[in-house]
Parts: sequence; structure tokens; C-alpha cells
Amino acid sequence: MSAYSYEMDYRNYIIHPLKFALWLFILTVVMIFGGFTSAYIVQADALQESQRLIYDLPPLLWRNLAVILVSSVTLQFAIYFGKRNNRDFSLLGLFMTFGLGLLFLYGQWDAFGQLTESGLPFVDPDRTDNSIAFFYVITGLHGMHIVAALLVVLFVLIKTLTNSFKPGKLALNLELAGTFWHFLGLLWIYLFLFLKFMPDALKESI
Amino acid sequence: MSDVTQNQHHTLHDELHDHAAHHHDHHGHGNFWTTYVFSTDHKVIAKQFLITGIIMAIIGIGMSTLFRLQLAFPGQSIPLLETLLGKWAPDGQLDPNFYLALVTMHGTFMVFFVLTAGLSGTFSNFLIPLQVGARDMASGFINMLSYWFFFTSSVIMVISLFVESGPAAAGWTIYPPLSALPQAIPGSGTGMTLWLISMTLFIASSLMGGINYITTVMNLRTKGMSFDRLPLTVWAFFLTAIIGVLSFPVLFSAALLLMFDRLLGTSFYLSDIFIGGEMLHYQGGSPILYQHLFWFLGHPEVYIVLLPALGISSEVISVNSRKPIFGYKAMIASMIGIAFLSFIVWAHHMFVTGMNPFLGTVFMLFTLVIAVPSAIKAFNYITTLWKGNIRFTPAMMFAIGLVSFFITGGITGILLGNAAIDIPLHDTYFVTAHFHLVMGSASAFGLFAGVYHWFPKMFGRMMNPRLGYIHFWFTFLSLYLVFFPMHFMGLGGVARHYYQYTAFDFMGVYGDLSKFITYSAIFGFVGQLFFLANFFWNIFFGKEAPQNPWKANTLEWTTPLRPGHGNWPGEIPTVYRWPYDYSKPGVKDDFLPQHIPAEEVEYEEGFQPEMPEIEKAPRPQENPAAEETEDKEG
Repeated sequence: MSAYSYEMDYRNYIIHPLKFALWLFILTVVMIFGGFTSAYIVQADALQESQRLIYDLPPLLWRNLAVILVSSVTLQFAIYFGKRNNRDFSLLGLFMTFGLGLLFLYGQWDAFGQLTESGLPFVDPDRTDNSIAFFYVITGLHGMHIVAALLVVLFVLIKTLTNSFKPGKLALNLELAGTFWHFLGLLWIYLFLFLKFMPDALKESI
Repeated sequence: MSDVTQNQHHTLHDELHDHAAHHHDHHGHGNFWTTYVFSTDHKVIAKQFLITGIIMAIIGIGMSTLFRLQLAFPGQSIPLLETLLGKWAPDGQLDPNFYLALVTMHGTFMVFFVLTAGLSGTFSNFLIPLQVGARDMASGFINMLSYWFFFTSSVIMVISLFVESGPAAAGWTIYPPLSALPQAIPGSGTGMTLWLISMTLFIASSLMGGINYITTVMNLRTKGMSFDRLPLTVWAFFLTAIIGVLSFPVLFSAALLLMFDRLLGTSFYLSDIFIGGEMLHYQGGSPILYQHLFWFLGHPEVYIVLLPALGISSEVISVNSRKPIFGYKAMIASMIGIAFLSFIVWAHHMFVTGMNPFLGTVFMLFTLVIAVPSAIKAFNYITTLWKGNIRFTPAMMFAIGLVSFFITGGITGILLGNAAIDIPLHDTYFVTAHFHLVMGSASAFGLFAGVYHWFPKMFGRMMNPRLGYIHFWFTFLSLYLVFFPMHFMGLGGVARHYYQYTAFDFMGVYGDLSKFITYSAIFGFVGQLFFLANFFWNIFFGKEAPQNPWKANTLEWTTPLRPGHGNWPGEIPTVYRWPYDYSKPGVKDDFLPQHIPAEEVEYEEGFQPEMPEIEKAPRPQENPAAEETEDKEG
């Protein structure tokens, strides 16, 4: 079969198609977590007062929140210098983001451990309140997205380190990684505040 | 092909080059693997989806024929079943568990693998770039990945048919607790786990496809192709993709929680369950929660299946009536309306769950409102046909058949949308009849219409019309003969999902009707052989097609007979008009393709075009430089 040589010309469009596609992907992630948080509310709201579990989430989560917020700043730092061809500063930003991302993941894992030790494991047949199980599912799936985003950051990092980006591609890749990473940060703010304050909010609504 | 040219080929196809576009004829020949297997060309991917879909359809329809035999001849020995199914049909009698598995897998195969992936996957992939004037999808690589995820998920689903405990058997909606408890029925064991794995991959495939379709329609339209010049097919695929991107993730959420319930012992969907007198440890969950999450996808899924078929029939009916589509903007508005409403009616599948009647009324109201855009569409099809210069090509026959099924099945939808009618009829064959006509038959006819219409563009050859007509009449008659009587069975109270209902006198009287339905189903299955023969034979040995066999206006017919990767050898044509300029008064031909500018239109002798400036000038997209040149030329 024959093929015509052509090159996609993206300059005429308001938004690069890959950026647009990324926003659509973000929309799907929003729908997934929208589904979970709606399910959380539906189930928690149906509980009677006696079935409700009273617990505190580990304070460690506040530190994790701070870590992911700072990692957004460091990635923005990397993007700023990457676009100005300052390779060293850009690399520094990318390394810091990657490190902070790992720290965040470790922190979340640690929080899982602390919760389990305090008698709130993922699976507990004696429990009638699913909000803790939802905490594990939501946090875990968010963590999986962080892993994916870290791979993206790692990809940009390695390509920058080896100078193997084609002309013009560095800025695009940095921006794609940035959008995804910032989105996951924002998503975590929402999820954390939701998981932290929704039990109390539901209790007061009765 | 030498390595050098291959490298060149790949470099040139690097779709993320930010250099200016330049085109020159370059005929690269990839090897078999890059051309037909791991291809990033949307046309090849579309054919891969189509052929995989056809194979899944053969299995899916075949399974329905098997369980129809059980329904027609309960308690009788059919040696053929034992030959085919072995231990699942001891002494020629279908095993009750396997009956449930067959029904489940029939639904799964047909809804997801045939009418979602087979329909959208084929025609969105094939037609979106060709009809909007793009060289390929926004990301050919993700598009390829989408197919291979779909392929893997198909393979896993087919493998699940062969596991020892049998495939999933909790219905295509896999409601817990049945689907969540491996000890409940054999079908909730390994088969169910494979079902969930397969569907997870399917969701990923569907999302990758959908993201690509939306991005391509939004960003890669050719010059002059504004949204009010898009063919209705593209509008339909575009809206379908939006619905998919918004609803499939929620199915993922639902499936993930179900997976945890099954594999780790959480209680998201389970509470207070006894099996064999023994209480299980699950508490605090709610199976209704699963239904909410499932139907949040499940209802939009109905329109994911139906809208592409409606889009295809709009195009086919207009082309073959030689008339502009009636109410182009009304068609778009009703599709947008349907797409929006499809998200706020899901609970009409759950009227029998003991839902608060007030809540049920709200969902009922929105459900009935969907009748309005649907009726607009039906009337517009009919008014397009009205006084048209109709050519009854096989594609046209199927498109008109779609309108027939859409109306017949849609009317019972208005009945079932009412909670008061749905509650007694919900678990009867009335519902089976309704959705098989409006969603199954209508969508299948859209799929067939599309295949007959675009086969010449896909393979450069014609299908045999005579076999097409035979296929049409077999299918059309058999579908009505199968599903129309089911309305009466349903009204008589015959329960669906039953392995055998002869023990109940009031249901048993329908035994003869049930036999009739089974014979009709076999008749319809035989009719599909004409299609298969016609399709596969003519891929290789069909008559060479003309470049524009149906004299249609849309851009795909401006490509060479067998377009290569990149679709147009030279510049992509600019679009100067909407796609439905058929039988324009005074114009020499009865069609006026989208790429013909006003000054090149050939008029009949002696005809004075009154206001040539009424033709819209092309609207360049966000390119002021191009606009200026255009102005100077004009």
C-alpha cells in the first residue's frame, strides 16, 4: 500500500491537538473520581448514626499535600527555564519534581500503613462504614495516576539530559507534563479535602 | 523496501513535526507488519475494527441461536448442542448455568464488541479524517493502541468462553451480588474475573479512540470545513465520542469497586448475604450503588450504539434520495439534545429497585423528553425521502430499514419510560423486544448501511447488490419476526432471563410462539451468510469501483480509489459548501461536491445563477494570512 508523504501542520490551531487530547484525558480522570466521590456520598449518607465510623485521617497527609504543591512549583520552574533554553536549571527543576513525586507516593503509602496499624485496614468484615475503604481506593488510584505522571516527567528528564528532543518539541513536552502534573495536584487538593471533611459534613447533615 | 527509504518513511510520518506542511508524491511500501498489523493509518485501523467486529458478531449471534434452541425446545434433547458445547449440554440439553452464560456473553459481545467497537471503531476511524479533510487522526499511535487494546480485550473475552467454570453469567449488566460472589454460581468464578479484565481494556480502548475522534474533529478540519458544513456522520461520531469519554470512566469506577469486592473482600456492593444458609461477612454495601454507576454508563451507551448508526443513515438517505437532508440544523440540535439527555435518564433502568417514586418521576420526565429529538430525527428522515429521486441501493435499503426499526422500537420506549408501565413489564420479553428493535436492530442496520455504502472506499471494489438485497430481506424480515412477537409474550407476562418457562401455565401457552421466534432467528442467521460471502469475496474479487460510485458530495470521494496513508496525494481540498447540495436547481449534475467553489459550478445551458455570491466563501481557520489572500482573490 502506498503512502503519501506529509507532515502534520499544527501551527494554525489555537491549541495543539495533543494538548487538547490531554485535556480530554483529564476529563475522563475527572469522571472516574467524580464517580467515586459520588458513590462515597451516596453510601455514607445512607448510614445510620450507629453504623458510622468515627476516625481521624493521619496528619501525615497534610505533609503530603504540601509536598505535591511544592512539586508543582518546581515543575513550573523547570518549564520556565526549559523554554528559555536554560538546560541546567530546567534539569534541576525536573529532578526536584521527580524526587518530590516519589516522596509524595512514599508519604501516601506511609499513610496507608498508619491507618492500617490504627485499626482501619482496607478490608475489615466488621465494618459497616465504607468511607475508609473508599479512602484507600481513591488515594490508591490517584497514586497510580501520579506514577503515570512521574513516568512522563522521567521521560522529559531523560530526553533533556540526553539532548534528544527535536527542535520545538521540548516546550510542548514540558507543557504537556506540566498540565498533567498540575491537574493531579489540584485533583489531590479536592480529594484530600473531600476525604478529610466529608465525614463531618455528612454527620452534621443528619 | 530498503532501510533507507523505510527510515525516510518513518521520519516523514513523524506526526509531531512542527515544520511547515509540504507534499510530494512519495510511495513508501511498508512491510506486512507495519502496513496491515501495527498500522497507524486510520483506514487500516478502521478495517481491523470492522473485521474483528464481524468475527465477534458471528460468535455473538451464534450464541443467541443456541439459547433460542433451548427456549424453543425446553426439555428436549438436541444432539447438535452436545456436539457443539460438550459438557455444557449433557445429553443434548443445555446446562442452565451455561444458558445464563450464553445470554450474558451474547449481550456483552453485541453491545460492546460489535455495536460499540465494531460500529464507532470502524466508521469513526474511517470517516472522520476522510470527511473532515485530515491526513490522519490527531495521534495515529494512540489510535493504533486503541485497536490493540480492543483486540486484546476481545481475545480475553473469547478465552473466557473456554474456562472450566464457564464464562460470566450474571447478565451483560453484571449486577452484584451475583457477579461479586464467586461461590454464587459457576459463572461468577474465573469467567467473571476475565470479563472484568477484558472490559477494563475495552474501556481504555474506547477512551483512546474517543479522545482521538474529538481532537481530530475539533482541530484537524480542512480549510472551509466549519461545524455547519460537517456531514451529519461526523457530527454523530463526534457526539458519540463525547458521550463515551464522559461515561466509560464511570464504568471503570464501578468495575474497580466490583473487582475489590470479588478479589479482596471489601463490601462496596454487598451486604447481609446468605449463601446455603450461611451468612457472609459482607456488610454496609449496596448493590443499588453498582446499578447507579453502571447505568450512568449504560444509558449513554445506548446512544453510543445508536447515534453513529443514525449519522450513517442521514448521509446514506440524503445521497440516495438525491435531496438535501431535511432539517440539517434540526438534526444536529436533536443529536446534541439526545446526547445531553442521555446522561440524566439512567435511573429509568432502575424503576424496579424500590426507588423513591418522586425520584422516579424526574427520571421518567427526562426519558419522555428524549422522544422529542428522536421524533424530529424520524420525521427528518421521512421528509428527506419525500419526493426524493430515490435509488434503492442496498445501503439505502438498510438505512430505510433503520428508520423503520427506530420508530417501531422507539414507540415502545415511550411506554417503558413510564414507571407505572415499566414496573410490571420490566422483567418480561416486552423489554427484550423494545431494546433489540431500537438499539440492536436499528444500530445493526446502520452498520450494514455503512458497510454497503463505504465498501468501495474501503477496498476499492464494489459489493454485489443482488446479494445485498437478499441479505436485506432475510435480515429485515427475520428481525421483525423475531422481535415483534416478543411484545405479546411480554404483555402476557413471560419473564425474560428464564432458562425454561414451560412450568408456568400462563407462560407455557407461548411455547409455539417461542418456536416460531427460534425458527425466524435461524432464518435470519442464515441470511447473514450472504453478507459474509459478499463481503469477504468482494474484498479480493469484486468489480473495480468507480471513484465516486454513489455520486456523493463528501470529501472522502475526492481521494484516489485506494488512498494511501495521508489520504490525498496533493493538497487537501478546500471546502466551499455544506455536504448536502443534491439536485440543486440549475446545476448540471444532481450533486455538487463540497470542494467545488462557486465559480467552478457547471450550470445547465441557459440557466442564469441569480445570486452567485450567496455561496459562502471558505472560512479559513485562525489563519489571518490565508484570509487576506482569499479576499484578494475574491
